[in-house]
Amino acid sequence: MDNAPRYLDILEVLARHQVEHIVVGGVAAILEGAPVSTFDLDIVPDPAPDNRTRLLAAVRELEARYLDPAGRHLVPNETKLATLRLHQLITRAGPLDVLATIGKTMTYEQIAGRTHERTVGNLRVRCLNLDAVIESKEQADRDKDRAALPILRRTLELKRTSGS
Amino acid sequence: MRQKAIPEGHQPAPPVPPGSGPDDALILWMLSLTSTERLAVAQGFVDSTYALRNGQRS
Repeated sequence: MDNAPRYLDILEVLARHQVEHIVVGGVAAILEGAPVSTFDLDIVPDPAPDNRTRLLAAVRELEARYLDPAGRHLVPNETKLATLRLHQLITRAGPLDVLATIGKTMTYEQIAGRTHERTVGNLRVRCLNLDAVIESKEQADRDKDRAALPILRRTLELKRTSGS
Repeated sequence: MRQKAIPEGHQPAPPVPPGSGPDDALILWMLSLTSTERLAVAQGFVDSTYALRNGQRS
């Protein structure tokens, strides 16, 4: 079994390389206050070419390779980052999913206005708002997404009523 | 107020099962934490899970 995710370690490397990205998925839900669990960090990076170069440097520092059922050692490169929509990476700090879109077709540009920055340790982390996390999971509509939705929706309700 | 005597052999009723919906108390507790603390909670959970899966004990 691969090593456990160390969310903060990955976020620190991304920050050090100045990778513009949005934290989405389970970790975004957790940062928004939902008591859910996840075993990987999902991000949507800014697709700009210069940011892609910084992302490549970051994932190289993290010794990232693709999760490959055939066991091949495939590593990210500029071409893959520019063309593939989903990068399921295993890093020395645990799993990292780099996504071009979330939900059905929610791109970086479309979700960029539905985020806010959160302080996590010494970092400022740009995080998808909980309502957008819910929308992305409604669109994705996988079993694990449907399972999480009642908690996410109730968390959003309680956030709104408690002003958290 | 005097308590009623419990008949010998009486089995207490099982607790009423909680609702099947999300646990508001848990959510409100999570909402009371800072972002750093929320991530630490999640990190603690995955660390414990991986330790169990790897046969380690804390």
